[in-house]
Amino acid sequence: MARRLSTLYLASQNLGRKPARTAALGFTAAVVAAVLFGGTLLVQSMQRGLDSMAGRLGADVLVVPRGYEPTMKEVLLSGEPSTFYMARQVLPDVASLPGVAQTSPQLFIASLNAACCTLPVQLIGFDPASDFSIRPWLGNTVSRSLKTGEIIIGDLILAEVGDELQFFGQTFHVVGKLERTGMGLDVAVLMSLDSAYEMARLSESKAVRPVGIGSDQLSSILVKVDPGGDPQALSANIVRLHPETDVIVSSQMIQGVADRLRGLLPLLYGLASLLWIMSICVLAAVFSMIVNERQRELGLLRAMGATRRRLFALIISESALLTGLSAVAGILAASLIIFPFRDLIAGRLGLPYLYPPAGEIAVLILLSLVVTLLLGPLASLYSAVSASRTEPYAMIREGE
Amino acid sequence: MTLVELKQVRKVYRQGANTVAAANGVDLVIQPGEFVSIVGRSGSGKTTLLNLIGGLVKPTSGQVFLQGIDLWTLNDSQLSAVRNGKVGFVFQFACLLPNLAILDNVRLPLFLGRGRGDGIDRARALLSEVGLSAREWAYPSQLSGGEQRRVAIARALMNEPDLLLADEPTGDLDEETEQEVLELLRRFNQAGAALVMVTHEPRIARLAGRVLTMSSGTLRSEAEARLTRATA
Amino acid sequence: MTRALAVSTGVLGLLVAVVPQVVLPVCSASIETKAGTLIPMKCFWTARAELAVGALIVLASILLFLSRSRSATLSLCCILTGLGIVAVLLPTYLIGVCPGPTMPCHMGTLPGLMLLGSLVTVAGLAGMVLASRRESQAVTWPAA
Repeated sequence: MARRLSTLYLASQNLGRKPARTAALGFTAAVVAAVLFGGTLLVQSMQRGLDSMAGRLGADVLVVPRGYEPTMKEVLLSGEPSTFYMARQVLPDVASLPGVAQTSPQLFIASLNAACCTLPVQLIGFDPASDFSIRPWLGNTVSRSLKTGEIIIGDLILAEVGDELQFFGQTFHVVGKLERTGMGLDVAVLMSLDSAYEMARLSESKAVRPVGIGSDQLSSILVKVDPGGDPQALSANIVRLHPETDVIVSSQMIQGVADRLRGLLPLLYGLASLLWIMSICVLAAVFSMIVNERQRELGLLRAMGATRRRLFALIISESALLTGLSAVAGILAASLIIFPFRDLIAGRLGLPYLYPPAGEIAVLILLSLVVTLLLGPLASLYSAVSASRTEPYAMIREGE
Repeated sequence: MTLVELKQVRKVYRQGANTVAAANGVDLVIQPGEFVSIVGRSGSGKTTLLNLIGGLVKPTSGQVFLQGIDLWTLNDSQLSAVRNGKVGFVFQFACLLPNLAILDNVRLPLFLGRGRGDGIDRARALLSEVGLSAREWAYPSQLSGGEQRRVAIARALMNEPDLLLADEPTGDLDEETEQEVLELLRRFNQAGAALVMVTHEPRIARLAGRVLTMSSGTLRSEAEARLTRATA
Repeated sequence: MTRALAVSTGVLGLLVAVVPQVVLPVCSASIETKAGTLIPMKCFWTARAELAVGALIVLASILLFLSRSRSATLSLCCILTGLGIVAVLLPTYLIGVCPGPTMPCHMGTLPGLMLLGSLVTVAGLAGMVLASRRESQAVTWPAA
């Protein structure tokens, strides 16, 4: 306590001796900071998830069995495991349509609710030769083709490279693990199409419940459209040719999610702005009360030789200290919810969810801090100016 | 050089349709080291006069000089420096900052004047002179009225002012504390600071070297005042 | 100040007991042993244990609220610190939760308990610091 007197020290003493009032005022500012930081981080993470998905979806058009369009979207976005299939004949028919640059088949199988502590996962069989949608996610994971019995697992699957996992009564070796995608791939297990068909065949004898898919079936066909081609027209063609299918145009699917997000942002910023304005009003009212109640004290300071500027600085410092510390508290509180509960939030949202890089998060923290800190000085500005302009004698007489 | 000089100082307040002259053409000269008391009933304008002397209120007309400088030709920064370094105030209601410990209250003038050092040694010495060194970490609310008054005196002396202004320093105090406070003030006056004390009790006023009376904004010497009353 | 701390830790203790049961519940599934009987998973036992720890935290908080002497405050805050640490250790080391990152106990209950336990620990430490500081301040005061 015994150190040089300073404006900050005086401000901290004033705040500290009235803890209940300081806490109540601080709470409003803390809420602003928490909503600003937490809300923005949430929305930014969803946007990043979306961008990452858009960037690496690969296919322009997805062909699935009729009625399975929503199921496919769920598989892609949140990894809700499913099994569905259509006739394999669709593949060559689609490949022969005009405007089609590339096609690649995939097989989707939901694993059984097997051993303890595992939830069903999505098994995806893909064709390494023709695939163009999984490969971008593989990165440095595995450079050679997958042999039968080998699998690549998503980031959230409970295993590491070198482990063995059991599906449908058979053993598979983990040879690679994907990085976090924020999408359904995080809970997926990837194998070659041949491996998948082999697993399905052997499951008849080995598994509790067989897969029930033959090698004449597949779940979806990914189509890449010629540059300059029209995905909409192509999708109409496909449905005309094979009415037992549904076609998803990727750009529309992404658009749908993007629209949902875009609706969120103005809502969030609207809420934050409203809170900010409310806070200023509350703080301004209370600070004006506080300055009024301290008229004599302030007059006394002037009598002792405080300049107008010093008085102004004292009042502003006190309010800035209050909102500054509250901002820190609010951001801390928001962090304590957002970061540890990340997976829970992502799961509940059902949307792709990826954190921005640490640098951007740091910038966001700084911005939220500054915006909230400014609340104090802005709210007390009027009171500070009028106090510094009042004649010292008039202020001292206030108390009598 | 005279310490304080007031030339035809008037201070007029407007209260609705009426105007009240708290000071009406006051002339006053105070020498360095003098002990002057100003007596008068409440509402006579004596407190206003004290604050005019200290440069806390601007006169409607007239001039206030401190060590030859016309106070109201100074800018805010210069005037604040004068209040900080040359004048010490002891107000009617002790007026300590309630959120600071006693020791911090006393060394406040040093901080406000941007003096060097932390002022702890001098503040402790002053507290010891007023007999409160044991309570240096107490807060004003934990002190009695008399003790607060003594701290206020210590604070007023922090920057070694040439002029000490005391407004009803013994108001609300019991007799014993009253004597302690007056003794302190007298001691500091004898050490060199000029003392101007405002009081409504003539018997306390008479302790001063010179007694002036204030009545309806007009300042007179005691002799003049008696004469005026006799002829009224 | 101590009273405010006691109320905070009391609320936290209540949450430690209740959160694994209701707010962020553990997995409801059971696993089959070799003998064929169904037993609950690890996270179930963690939740049970946290009921006890939470109750103890609440008890210590009530005592802290009522405590008058500095040494009692210091001791109770020390106990609270320890209980907070136990609340964190139960789902991480002592018993544990299901290892799968997508299991509800792993996504929700685990971070929840770690957060609550850490807050209790911090509060306990803060209480200890405050209590010991008041002791040293009291020494500089002679009788009034």
